[in-house]
Amino acid sequence: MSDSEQNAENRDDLPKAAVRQRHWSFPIIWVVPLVAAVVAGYLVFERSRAYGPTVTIVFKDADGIRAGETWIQHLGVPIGQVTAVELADDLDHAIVTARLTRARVSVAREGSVFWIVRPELGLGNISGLGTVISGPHIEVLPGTGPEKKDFVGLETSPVILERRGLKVVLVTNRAGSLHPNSPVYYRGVEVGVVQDTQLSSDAKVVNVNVFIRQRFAGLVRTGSKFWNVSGVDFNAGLFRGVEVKLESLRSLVAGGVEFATPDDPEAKPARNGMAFPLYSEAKKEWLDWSPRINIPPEK
Amino acid sequence: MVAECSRCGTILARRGHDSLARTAALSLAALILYVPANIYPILRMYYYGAYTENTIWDGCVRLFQDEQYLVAVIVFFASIVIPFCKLLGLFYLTATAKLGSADRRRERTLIFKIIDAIGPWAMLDVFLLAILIALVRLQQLASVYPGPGLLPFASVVVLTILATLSFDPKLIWEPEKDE
Repeated sequence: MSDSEQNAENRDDLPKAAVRQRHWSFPIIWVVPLVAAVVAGYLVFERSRAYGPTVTIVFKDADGIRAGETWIQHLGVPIGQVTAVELADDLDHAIVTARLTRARVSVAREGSVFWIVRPELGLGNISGLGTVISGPHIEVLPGTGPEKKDFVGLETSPVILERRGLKVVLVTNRAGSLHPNSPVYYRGVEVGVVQDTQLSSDAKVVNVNVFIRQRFAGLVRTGSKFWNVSGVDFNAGLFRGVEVKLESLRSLVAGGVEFATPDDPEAKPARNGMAFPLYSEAKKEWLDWSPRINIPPEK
Repeated sequence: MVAECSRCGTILARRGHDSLARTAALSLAALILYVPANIYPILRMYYYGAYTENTIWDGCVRLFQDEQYLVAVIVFFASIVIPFCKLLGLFYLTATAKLGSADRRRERTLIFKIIDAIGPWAMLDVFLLAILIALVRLQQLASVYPGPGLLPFASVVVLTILATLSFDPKLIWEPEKDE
């Protein structure tokens, strides 16, 4: 009897393997898609939450602005990204479309101003140096008005980034060396800047728009006197010798304005848009004025 | 289904009766994670101070714009189309096996073999990124970082491979239910 025959004969004698069906098994594997769904749901929710409104900004020149690369920033915090740069139908403007990230307080509102930050080399100040290698970015100064989607960008960066402060107009015959960014001093301390210098509508005088920081706004009263401290004042006399007056090195190149306020308790604080004459030099007594004016502490 | 020795209880053969459920569950998980994998950037790059984020789709578009058509098509297929097709294929296989269908058994076996063979290749992106991230670290000048989309993307690939592994191709050849 050969082996195979014997095997065949014995096969029926061999015990059968018991086949056991598992009746109940917890479908633990379905936990995997459940976890995946939770994670994915959370991620998608996060992503959709990050999408804020889309705004369009019209610029005269969008040189260096690139879709998908240029960010909109406020105080150095990225709050949006450019998604498209197109030419306007009049071929005279560039339309920049940007998607803002969602925030509790949106900057897509009336009064917001956008401008492109590029390296700037000015008298007495250099700014935007970081953008030399990174390319320009768009900066925004948030407004406070109702919601808005379409903006017109500024050509140059606004002189001052603070939103609150006192704006007054100084009227003079010649702008001299005053130009945007020239400092405004009170007792030699910088309390504001010149925003711009413009000819009046009838070209008779020059209007110098001045911004005084909110903290120092109380220093300007109705009787305040403003004078120009630009440049150097040479005074040579036979008995006095040579007298050189110079407010600061910066005012030498950038020009500057100083003001003083008389000690008059009746005088009211200046209001926004108030006009003051700008004198070419200070009278002796102005320099002696020292009224007591409370300045709020720095925040 | 487990076959045990009737005398000593040793497991002689095991047929994962939950093979289909396993495959289906893992494929479903992969399909769900496929969404965040594609909407989140898988790559964040700082280049000379500029910052960009790239999803897989962004990468394809950018490659296409740079006239790297071949690479763009490869990336598009390897990273977007093929993972999705693999999942569709797995769903098809589990569904027909569950229904005990007898149609196109050869073709279905072929589909399974293909899915099984190209499994690890989908990981190419992840490997490539890992190398890129390790290499490009020039501090301030240029750096590459993984984006939040990389983890779901890698999970999709791994889950797909696991789903393929847990699928028992013998199930394609089960006799029809109504026989």
